[in-house]
Amino acid sequence: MRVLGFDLRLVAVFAGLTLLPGGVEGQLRTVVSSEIAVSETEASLKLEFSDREDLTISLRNGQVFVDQDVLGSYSRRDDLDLAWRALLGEVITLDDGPLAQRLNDWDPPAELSGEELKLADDLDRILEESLTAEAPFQDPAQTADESPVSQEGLVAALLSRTGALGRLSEALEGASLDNFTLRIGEDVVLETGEVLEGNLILVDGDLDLNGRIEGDVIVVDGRVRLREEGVVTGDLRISDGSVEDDGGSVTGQILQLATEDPIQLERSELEELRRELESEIRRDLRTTVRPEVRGPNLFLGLLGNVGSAVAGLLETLVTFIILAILGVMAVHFQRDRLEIVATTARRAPVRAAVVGLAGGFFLIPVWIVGMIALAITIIGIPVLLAWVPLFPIAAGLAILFGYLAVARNVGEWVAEQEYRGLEWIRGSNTFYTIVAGLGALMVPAAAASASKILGFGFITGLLGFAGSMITMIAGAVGFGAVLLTRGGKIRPLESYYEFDEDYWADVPPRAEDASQAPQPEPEEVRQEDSEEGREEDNDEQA
Amino acid sequence: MNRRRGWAGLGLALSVVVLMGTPPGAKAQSWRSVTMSRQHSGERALDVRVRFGAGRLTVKPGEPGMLYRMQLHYDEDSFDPVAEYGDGRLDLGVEGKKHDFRWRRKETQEMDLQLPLSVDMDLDLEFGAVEAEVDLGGLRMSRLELHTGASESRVDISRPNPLRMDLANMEVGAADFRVERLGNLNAEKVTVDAGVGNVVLDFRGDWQGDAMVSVDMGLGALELRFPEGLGVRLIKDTFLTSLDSEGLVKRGDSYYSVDWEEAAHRVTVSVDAAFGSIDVVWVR
Repeated sequence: MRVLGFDLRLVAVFAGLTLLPGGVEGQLRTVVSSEIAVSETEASLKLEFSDREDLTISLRNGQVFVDQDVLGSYSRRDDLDLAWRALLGEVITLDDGPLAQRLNDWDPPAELSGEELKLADDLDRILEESLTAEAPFQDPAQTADESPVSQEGLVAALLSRTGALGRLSEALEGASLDNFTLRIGEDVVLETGEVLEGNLILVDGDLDLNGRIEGDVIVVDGRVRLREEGVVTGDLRISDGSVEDDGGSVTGQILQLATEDPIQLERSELEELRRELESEIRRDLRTTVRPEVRGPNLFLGLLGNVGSAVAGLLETLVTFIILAILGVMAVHFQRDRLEIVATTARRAPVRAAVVGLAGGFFLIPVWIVGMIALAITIIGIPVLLAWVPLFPIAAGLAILFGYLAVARNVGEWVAEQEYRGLEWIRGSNTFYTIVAGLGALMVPAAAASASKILGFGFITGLLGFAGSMITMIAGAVGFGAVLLTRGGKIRPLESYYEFDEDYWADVPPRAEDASQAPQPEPEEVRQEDSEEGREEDNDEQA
Repeated sequence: MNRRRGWAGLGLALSVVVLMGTPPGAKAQSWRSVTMSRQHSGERALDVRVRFGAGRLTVKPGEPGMLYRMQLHYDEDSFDPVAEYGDGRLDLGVEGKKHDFRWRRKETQEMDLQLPLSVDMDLDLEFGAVEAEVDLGGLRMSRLELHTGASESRVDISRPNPLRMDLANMEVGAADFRVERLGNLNAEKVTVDAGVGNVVLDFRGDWQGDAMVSVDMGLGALELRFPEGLGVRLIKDTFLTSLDSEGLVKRGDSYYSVDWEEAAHRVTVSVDAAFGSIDVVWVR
């Protein structure tokens, strides 16, 4: 019904603002923000109120500050300092209402006297004046005449939301307005055990309900959160808002007024029940039909582990066989180069590793730069066709060749150890050493696969990690050695480390070198020549 | 009841003792304890940024009606607390003072932060060398960015996020990093970029829809913990990384859980890893 263009239900609300209880807040100002700081030289309290005013009281470096003004002085650990710190210690866990209440209730301790007492009294007075400077809402017991400011404020707040008025009118349709609480532009929180008698009308605010509301709840432009212990004994009417059900209950209906579509809690509960049943049935079926996957049977679990371990071992074995074949081929066709690379890797592993890592780092940039350089020159374009596929292949072969050379060194070391059962590995036979070295390098990976039988993921991970690291290090050292020796063509360490001839004694000379090599001479002459040769090499190096 | 009161009394007494300062004989320190809090006053959405360099960090959901509550214990010679609020943004944490970094290891810097339950948040957490316990349960997150340095971090989404999230991005340096109940994150896409360390991703929780999870790992061990009933597809692009694919069946280039077809919710996990191990664990 409308009278003079104004809905009667709204008239009732406006009338209620002056005739009915409007809220339950106390008389203290709302503290929206607090900051308590304590250090050896400071004990400060900063409060910010809802009207954006703030108050700072600080005992700092021997002086008492209120905002920026000096109120007096104190000494560290005197009675005033201790009393103030004790108060901050009490309120440090409090917020808003309880915080304001405790600060307002604070009285200077009886043991204070003289100047300390005077300062404490001043602080007490400042706190009380600041905290009670405004009373935005009146006590419900107060009469309408005693609280004109808050009620006018509510009316003004409601009128300022002209957009919400229409929806409020719609939401109030059929609702009882005998006893209601109105909140505008603020959130309402009801904690467990709290009870609100009568209807709640909330405009432009959220309701967080874990308590009980004895009546209807009308929310316009807000969100309702029904927590587990939240109860509404009447209807829940929402206009231009949303409801989030976290297990609370509404005795009446939940009405989404924007769509006039009643939201049936039962329906959502049934849907949830259906999902749970489906999940349960699915779980049962899975356990019955596929016990090998989910079953808790220890034997089947062990069987799965064994299968996983065997698969891992087979994978390692196949890798080993392929590498061993490649290693044998490398020894057969490029023995000299392999020996030079292997010796370089053995004599200078750190240098080789650094060079290898750096080389690996620059591989892709070099490839790309090469492509660009060839692409921008007409003559380079045909070469580009070869560069693009061949460079990665060459790089991969170089890394593989280096890895095999390192494996050869490892195999030689294994032969020197003369382990029982491995006597057949002869250090002088490169075929044997390279195969044995590859096997040794792959021991951690094989052990990681075998450890899966036990089901200890940590050990498997650790061994797998060790295997990965060993492979990476061997690859880096080998690749570095390949780069240092230009693929086994030169012996860079001869000049760099100034080793004597014995350094390369275990490396057979390459065929072309051997044909040009001088005939053996008496010992003293050969020494002189070698000295001269080193000098020449050093000059070249310089 | 008496016992609870006893603990409360002890806690209060300890707080007072701490607040009263150090004993007279002790050498003066520049450590400062700050407690900051702000009440919720109608905010609907916020961009929240949390920065913490080193020490112990705890993040958890706050009480209803609270916007944030932050307790800090820090070296005031080297750091400044940050609590800036306004224009839809909330910046919290500590930041180092320029040209005056004197890190002292005698005491541990600490931060205990509570975040709002009733505000939609774009949450950005960034911490360095910290020991972090982060509980994001029940927070209304529309986006999550998490960056850690050399930390030991545990992130738990103990209750479902009421909002559907487009993207949760986690960047982890050299760290032990554990995320529990990822399903509660309610995210369409989750990316985890981990450098070196151990990463555990627990996919339990209340899944509201399908999700795509992308893990990029450098060096370390990755453990994927899946709840039974969740449809899982694992795609791996790895180098020198072992995979223990328990309960997964390989089809084509991917590994599938046996109930992938009929699962109510499906998660596709894409792992790009070099050097390390990937372990799949099924949990009830």
